[in-house]
Amino acid sequence: MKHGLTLTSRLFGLALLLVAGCGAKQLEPAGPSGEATPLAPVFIPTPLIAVPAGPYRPLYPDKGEPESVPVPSFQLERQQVTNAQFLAFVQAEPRWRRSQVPPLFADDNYLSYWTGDLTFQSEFGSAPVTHVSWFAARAYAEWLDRRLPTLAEWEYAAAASETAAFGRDEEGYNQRILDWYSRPTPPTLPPAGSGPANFFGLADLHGLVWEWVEDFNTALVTGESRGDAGLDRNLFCGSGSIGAADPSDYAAFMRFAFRSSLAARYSISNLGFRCARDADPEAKE
Amino acid sequence: MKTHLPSLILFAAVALPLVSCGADAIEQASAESVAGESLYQLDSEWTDQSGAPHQLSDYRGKVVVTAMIFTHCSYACPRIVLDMQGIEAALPEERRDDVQFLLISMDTERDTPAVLTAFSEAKGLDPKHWTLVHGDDYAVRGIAATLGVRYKRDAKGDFAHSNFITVLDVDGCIVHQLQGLNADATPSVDAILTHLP
Repeated sequence: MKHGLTLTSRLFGLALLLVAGCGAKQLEPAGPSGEATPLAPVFIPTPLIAVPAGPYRPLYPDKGEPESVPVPSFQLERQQVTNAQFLAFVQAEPRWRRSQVPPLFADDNYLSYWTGDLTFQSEFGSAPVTHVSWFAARAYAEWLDRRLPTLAEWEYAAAASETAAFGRDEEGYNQRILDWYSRPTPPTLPPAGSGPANFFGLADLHGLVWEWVEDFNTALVTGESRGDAGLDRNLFCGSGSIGAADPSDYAAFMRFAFRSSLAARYSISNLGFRCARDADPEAKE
Repeated sequence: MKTHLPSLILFAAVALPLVSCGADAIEQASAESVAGESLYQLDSEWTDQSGAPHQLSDYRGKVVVTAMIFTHCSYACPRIVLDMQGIEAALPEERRDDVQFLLISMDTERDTPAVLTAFSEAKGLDPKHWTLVHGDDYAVRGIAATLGVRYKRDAKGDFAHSNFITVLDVDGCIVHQLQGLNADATPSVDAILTHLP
């Protein structure tokens, strides 16, 4: 029922966009300062890349579980969602505009670098959208009949190097990621998709911005980091099963720590997203 | 090896320019109700222990005491329910009709209406004041995100999860969260009494 309604509103939104394509400037007034509205006249969703089934090696495997978990084949967007694409979404879905989004779904930093509800500096158009909450990322994905990738899907896809499905053992692989983690975010991000594609054909899983995953909130740590050496059983049921599989994988520790610091309404300067979809049943495995 | 983790988290919080908001996973309770913070904006659909469909906004107008559980849980969940029963017992009898106790299952696979009914009966929960609901993964992930509950399904289908009892006011805004088991329930009871319709 809900999905039916969503689909209808989405189609309506796309129809509006098509209209906008013919007379884009009339769709919405320019921002208060009168600067040009960098409309994306034709919305083009990011192409989906088919990722074959394979193993995800969790940092914290469950007790009694093998050190890798099978990930079924799925599809993942080639690169991160851009400001121009996100603009098309908020044009079609006003409740996700900066001035209208309820505080339940996004904090005060939501799209804070945009100059208005529907405007941003033109050089940001092809850069990944950031300062978006998990709820907003999820709503964008749903608008496209897509979804956010699971943590297992993302980590599995991101474990590939440019030449191998599992790159973590390659010399220099982890160091390149850590080097990126240690650099501050540039004021103007490079365009999404400008980095080299990995083994699966996916760009920028490392090196541009961090990404939301559907189940970001599975990392069971408390806000008080010094209290986590032995997680308090009164706060977390089942916390006794935690123990890291690959202590040398510092990059994974960093991502784990980062995700565990997030709440779903946070809108952060270098956290973006890309969408996923279940495997296309028509496609051959 | 576990000992590396806390220092790394600390490192991440200090050294990375990423974390702009700190690590306060628990939203501080606000005394005022703001429609924009109402959980009733979630349009997720749920099914109760009798099989009837529900939206969370069905409970608008009552103070709601809610927690996320799974009925196969052997350790924490029975104690969460006990703590909630303690809260119920501490309320004046004549005001109990204004309070809804809501248990939200995170076990999308096993917590069918029949299982929830059996659990409810075994715990002696009064169906007049207690509702147990289950929904799909999308709905469960969404409500967990708004309540600040972290959970993870393990290989056996059980869950590691954070233990919260949350009080919602008549508009569905969070007014109090009790973290941990066997915590002093007095603040929860006070929050309920303050926000009764």
